[in-house]
Order: sequence, then structure tokens, then C-alpha cells
Amino acid sequence: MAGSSAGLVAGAAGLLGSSAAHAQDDAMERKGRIKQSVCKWCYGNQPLDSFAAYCASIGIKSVELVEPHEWPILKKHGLICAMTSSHSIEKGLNRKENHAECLGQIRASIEKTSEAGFPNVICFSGNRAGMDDDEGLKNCEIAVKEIVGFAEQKNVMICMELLNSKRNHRDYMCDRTRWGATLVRRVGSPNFRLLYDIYHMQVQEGDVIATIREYKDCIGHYHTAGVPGRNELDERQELLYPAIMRAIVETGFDGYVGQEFIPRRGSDPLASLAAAVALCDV
Amino acid sequence: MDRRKFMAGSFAAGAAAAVGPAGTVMGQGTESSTRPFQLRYAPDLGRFRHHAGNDPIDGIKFMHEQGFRAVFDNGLMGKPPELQEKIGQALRERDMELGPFVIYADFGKESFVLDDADVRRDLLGRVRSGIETAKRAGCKWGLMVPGRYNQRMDWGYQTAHVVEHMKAIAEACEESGLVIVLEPLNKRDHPGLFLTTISQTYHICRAVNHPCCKIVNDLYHQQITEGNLIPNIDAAWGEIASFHTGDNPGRREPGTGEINYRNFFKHIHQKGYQGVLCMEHGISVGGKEGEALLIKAYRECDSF
Repeated sequence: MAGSSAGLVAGAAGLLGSSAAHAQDDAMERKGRIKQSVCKWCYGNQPLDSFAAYCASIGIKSVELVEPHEWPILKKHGLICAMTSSHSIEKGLNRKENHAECLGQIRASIEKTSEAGFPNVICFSGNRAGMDDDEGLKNCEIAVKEIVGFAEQKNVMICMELLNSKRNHRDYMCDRTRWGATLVRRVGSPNFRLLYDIYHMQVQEGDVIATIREYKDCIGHYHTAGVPGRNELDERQELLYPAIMRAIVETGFDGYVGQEFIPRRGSDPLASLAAAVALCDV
Repeated sequence: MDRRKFMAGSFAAGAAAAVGPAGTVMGQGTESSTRPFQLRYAPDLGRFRHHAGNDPIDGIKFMHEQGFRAVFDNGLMGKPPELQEKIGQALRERDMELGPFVIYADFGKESFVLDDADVRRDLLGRVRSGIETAKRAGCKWGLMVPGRYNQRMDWGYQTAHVVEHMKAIAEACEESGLVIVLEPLNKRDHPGLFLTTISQTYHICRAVNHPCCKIVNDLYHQQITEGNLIPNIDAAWGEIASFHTGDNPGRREPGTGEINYRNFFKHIHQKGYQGVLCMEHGISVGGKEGEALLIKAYRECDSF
């Protein structure tokens, strides 16, 4: 999820200029079996309008985690925001004392997301801070059950994101797919699922394709990035993304896969994005 | 999914093919078929029986022609001594390595985790046999899996017992120089085993602190257990003496699953790895065609 700005390349105008040719080359029809999205935070200071135009030209359908006042810009380019924000990562639903605040933020986000016709709102477990995982699971269940009826009414899916606690989000509780899937099953609503972040879960537990196949009914959204480094999905990291994308297609998944890698320093970030979109367009 | 379509989709066009028309292997001295691989990938002895027949020496000759510079045989200890010597001779003549063979891998009982004199005696007996096998065949490494964990004993004590057994084993190997490589395995395929992660195995090796106690990193097992392959390799590099390959899911050749083997091979090559990578996996297509595709898969991943 949102992290440091390391690796982000400044100078939007120059980047867009250099990527214009890429935009032309990549203005192609995508196979579209994977509906692709991109997380804006990885493209830092890029003006949203030109970024959205570029995304649309390379077959991306959504720009995620963008604030509501910017949604009209996405719509102008025929895009949606496939995952909208709510509360923070560390202060989450595993603690009852956070419920009022977090659920308030989730509710507000559901309201706006539904009004805009967008599909998903993100949420988080929060950090352990000494809490037992079973207790945290119970507390999350209570919280999600309190809000999921509203999500159902509004036709919005709430997605709890799986993050690694080994490296990027120390002490985060929802760091195991099995824990998250147990929560999904206990809540028992079609409007609560997991955001399976392939980067985070490769760092935390591996066994990506098998996990996706086993828990496909619990997953509502995907994110990508290379391991190690959280950079491009190319030959410089340890996962074979086309194989993972094929596995996702085979599960019958019809949601979104959000590119959430940080373009390497010195690279052309928009070209990297286009390459990742092509790689995942299986 | 049709595997051929998958191969066409996922492999770059530029790989030099060791495969000619109709899936036959090119063995006429072309550059692509005789050029040694950049790393010592080690097929198991019987891997190319459809091309080379069942005789292990014919298999070694064939593998050498295809560019392999290592083989492995988990069951080497069970072969007649004369055959072990013949295998060693054939490999020496071709400057090929023999990867780790299994000295002990009883998945059915607790052994290393017990502070037990009978266990110690048994393990040392097996190691002495392993040393003799290694001498005959010219092998530098023997593989051990430390058995099951005990459900009642505190984990710290079990680890201490494993360390003590390995100290005794390493001392027994010192004169010959045989390196024992410990293998962690995934608990989905092998529930109940003591050793599962790289950091755990690294911990034991550091505690034993002997050149004859190292790690064999099986990437298939580790991708199932914990992922994070390259960071773990880097963190444990000083204690890793060998690798096993196999893609996941399916435990078949590289290119059939989620592991980016080309990048992984490039990474360890850049780190100066000189050891063996035992191809401890199945192949997705049977017969001669499958054997040719296997070579092609490794050529592709070796083209870094």
C-alpha cells in the first residue's frame, strides 16, 4: 500500500514526452481477460489528467486510491477508481476502540463509491500491538458484520488488504491468506473479500498460484509488484507474472488487478507501466 | 491449459533451442547443443532414458553432450559399489560434478530432535556409509533431512538436539571433507517434519559452525513454505552449498509455474555460485519430446 517515495521519478512533462511514443505503440486492443488498474501513488507527481489519459490509451480501466474530488478526471477519460480509500493501515478493525472511527470512514467511502458507480472500498486489519490473532479476527468480524449490510445495499465490496509484516508493514495482523479467508468465511457476505497483494504475499508466504486457487472465493481484488524490491514485474525479480495471471483468469475472477509496483529509479515509469500491462494481458 | 501454448507465451523468442524438428534433440555438434550451461544444472541419472537408454554411463554421456556439467542421484547409496565407482569415473572424465545424494531422509519418525544415543549411533553409521559412497563416486555432498518434530518437547530443546547431532556428524565428515547438506521441506507435501524454513536451517548451520554442515535450498519447497526466495538466498548465502530446482505449482521444469527461474539463475550466477542445482522435479510432457522440452526450458532460463 502507500509507502515511501523512493524510486519515484519526478518531472512529469519530460516523462510524458518520452512516453508519448510508447502511448502510440501501446494504444492497442488488449485481450482483456485481466481487467487492469493502477495505483496512483506509485506515479507520485504525475498530473492525474495526463496520467489518466495515458492509462486509458494503454488499456488500463482504473486508477486506484484516488481521492473523490479527482474522480471526475478519471471519468473524463473513461476510467473508474476500482479501489477507494477509507481508514489507515495501522489503526484498523482488529481493535474495538477503533471501530467507531474506522467504520465511519468506511461508511463515508461506501457512500461516495456507490454514488460514483465504483466497485470497491479498501479496509485494513490494523497492527497486532500485542493482540492475539484470534482476538483480532473476532474483532474484525464484529466490525465488518456491522458495515457489510450497508455495503450490500450500496452494491459496493469491502476488501481487506493482505500485507506482509516481514518487511514493509511490521506487526500488521492481516498478513496471512488463511487468516483473511477465515474472516471472509465467518462474515459470510458476498460484499466482503480480500485484496490479495501478490507482492506482499510472495514476501510473506509464497505459494502464490496454489493460494489463489484455494482461496479464489475469498479474493475480490489483486495487486502486483516484483519481489524483491517492489519494482517492475520483469525478468529482474522472482515471480513469473504471466503464469500467475493465467491462474487468476482460470479461477473465473472478473474483478481488477491493480499494478502497484514502484518504477525503478532512472527508468521511464510510464513505459514500465505499459510493459507490466502487456505482461499481465494474458 | 495446453502446456505448449503456455511455453510459447512465456518464453522469449531469442532462446537458442537445443531442440530440432519434431522435438528431437540436436546432437550434431551445433553450438547450442554442445555449449555448456552457465550453471551446473544436474539432471537425475535416469532423466534422459528415452534418448540415452537405461545405462547410467550412457545417460552421463548424453547429458554432457547436451551441455550439462553435473548430474545427481538421490539413490546413489543403494547402488552397487562398482557402479558408484563407474559413475564417478565417467563424471571425472568429463569434468562433471555429482550433486548431493541422500544419506538420511526418514520422514516417518523423530530422530535428530531426540537426545538419544541410539539415534546418534544410527546416524553416524549412515554417515560413515555415506562417506564411503562419496569416495567411490567422487561426490562432495551428502543430503540429510532431520526427520519429524516432537509434539511435546519445547522447540528450543529439539533445535539444540539437532545441532548436537550435526556437530558429531560434521566432525565425522571432517577428514573426508564430505559436506552434509540439510534440506528443509514444505509441510504441505510433508507435514510433521522438523526442518521447514531457510532461516531455521541457517540458524542450525551457524550453531554447528562447521564447513561440513550446510544447506541445500530446494526452491520448490521454499516457494511453498515461505516465498521470498531471493532475499532468503542472500541472507543465508554463506551456508548454502547446493540447490534443488522445481517450479511451483506442479514441481515440474522451470517455466511451468510461478518462479522466475531465469532471474534466479542470473542472480546466483552473479553471486559466483559454483555448485550444483539438482533438477529434482518432474517434466510436464512424457517421452522423448518431454526430455527435449526439458533441455529447452533450461536453455531458456540459462540465457541470462
